This record gives sequence, C-alpha cells and structure tokens, in this order.
Amino acid sequence: MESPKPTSVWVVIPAYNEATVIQGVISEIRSSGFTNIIVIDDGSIDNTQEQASNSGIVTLRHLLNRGKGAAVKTGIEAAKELGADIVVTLDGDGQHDPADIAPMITLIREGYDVVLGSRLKNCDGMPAHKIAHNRIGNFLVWMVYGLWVTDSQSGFRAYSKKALELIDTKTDRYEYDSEVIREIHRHQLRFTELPIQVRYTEYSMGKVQKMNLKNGIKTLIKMILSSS
Amino acid sequence: MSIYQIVLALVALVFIGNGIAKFIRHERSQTIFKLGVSTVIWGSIMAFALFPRVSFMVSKSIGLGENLNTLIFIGFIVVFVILFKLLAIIERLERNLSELVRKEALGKLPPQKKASV
Repeated sequence: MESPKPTSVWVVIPAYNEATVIQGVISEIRSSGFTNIIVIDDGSIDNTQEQASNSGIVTLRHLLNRGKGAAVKTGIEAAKELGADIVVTLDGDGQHDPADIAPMITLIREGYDVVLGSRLKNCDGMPAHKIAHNRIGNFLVWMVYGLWVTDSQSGFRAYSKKALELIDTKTDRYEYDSEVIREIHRHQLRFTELPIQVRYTEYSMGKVQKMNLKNGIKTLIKMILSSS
Repeated sequence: MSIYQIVLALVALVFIGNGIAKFIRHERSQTIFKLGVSTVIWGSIMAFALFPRVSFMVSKSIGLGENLNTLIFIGFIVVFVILFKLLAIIERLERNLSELVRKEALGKLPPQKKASV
C-alpha cells in the first residue's frame, strides 16, 4: 500500500531590520525540526537579507518597506508556490518560541484550519501595558469583525491548506493580524487558540514601539475601511 | 468691506488663476475635471467672501431659511466625505504598491526550490 504523501510545512518569518537576531531565530527553528523556512526582508535598511541568506534558506526581499502584513502575505504566497500544505508564521525578533510550532501543526493535522498562538492564555511575564493594549485590540476586533479571540494581534499562527486558499487579506501593516480574524469568521474556518510562550527580551522591548496610540487609531480606521 | 474679505478673495483668485494657467500650459497633473472642481470650490469661497449675503440666499433657496449654521454643518459633512474618499484612494494606491512589490519579490523565488518540492 502506498504511504500517504508527507505534509509540507513551511515557516514564514517577516523581518524588518532584524540583522542581529535573524540567524538565531532561523537556527532555533531548525533545531525544532523545521527546515523549510522563508524569510521576507521587508525593505530593511540593515543587512537582514544577507544574514538570512547565509543560513541557506529561502529569502525574499521587498524593495520598499510595506509592513508586517504585506511581508507575511508575500511569505504565504511564496510558500503556496513551493507546495506548502501547512504554513506557520512567526515574528522575526525572536520573541516567539519555535518549540510551540510542533503543537500547532499537531492541531492543524487534527482538523483545525487555523491555530492562533495566544499570549493572553498564559500572560506570565507579559508587561501590563501590553496586556491592556491586547485586550483593547481584542474588543475592537470583536466590535468590527464580530469574532472574539483572546489574542487578536499575535503573529504566531498556523494555517491549513484550506485556510491558505480561502483567507484573502488586503491590509499591509499591523491591521493584518486582525483582518485574518475577519476572514476566519467570514469563511467559518475551524480555529483554536494555543497558549504560547513569549520571550520579552531586551532586544524586542528595546525596539521602537510599534503599536502606540497613533498607530492604534490608524489601525482602527483601516479595520473599519477594510470591513466596509 | 473688511481686509479679511479682500485677502480671502485674492487668495481664491490666485488659486483659480494658477489652475487655469496650468491647464493652458497642458501640465500633466492638471485635468479639466480638477480645474472644474478647484474653480467651483475657490469660486464659492470668493463669492462668500465678497458677497456674504450669498450664503443666506443659498440657505434660503435650499429651504434652510436664515439658518446659516446648517449650511456650515453641511459644508463640514462635504469636507468629511471628501476626506474619507481621499483616504480610500490612498488605501487603494498603497495596496497596488504592495502588490507590485510582492510580484517583484516573488519573481526572485529560486526556481530550483520550486522544482524540488
């Protein structure tokens, strides 16, 4: 009897000015047993692309910085072209623990279409202001898109082939993560949330604050525009 | 006539004149539509500045009587609609730009990788 075709798992990493940590992130993912890795250098002004290329993985580069959402979408498109059955997305700053990839894939293989990594199911060590931002974000996502999740802004997610075909996002920046929630709701995809470990290092906390009040308002406006 | 009325009318005149000059010079950024819209907007500003009674006549003719506040309120709504439309246009342009950047990036996907899967 012919054995079933093994599933092709690809890990997509959007990266913007992550030259100092990207090789570490890649080697950690490899150590967890995943070798199909795509890094999207989102128009970095440092040598993120060179650092990633040296690791012998698939590296693509955006000529211009288009935002995390745009980079993830490019990575997913690339993974689809490479025949991916499952795609896992995680951030390029090393805050996500690749040890969580395996349980995500197990859940996808059990029949879930999307697995959302949730920082708020286990928020030990998470700064209080981040918890507050997330809760506000979750409430707004629920208001605009109609689906309640515990971490609407998490970039650590896994998608089945069905989800990869159905999810159609239009936004480019941090509103992308919320837009995926809309798509899950719109297509009635089967999803679950997995508590994930987040490492708030000096490096990740030292980066320019990505989600401040101004960006939050912009994100909300874009969410409303994209939902209309 | 106050100094503000004269200044506002002059500014409006400069903008209308500039628009017409651009159109005569066949500048690529100037279309008949843009010229028409800017002439109507600046022309209205000039008319309201020079002849304040025009605003009362307009509000009367559209059934608002002497209630100028309603006319101002409608003006705000128009400005917000234009702003919203502009935001939507910018959003669409951003989306197109991302698509172009994405196509360019995906075009460099190594062919041996595609073949090996």
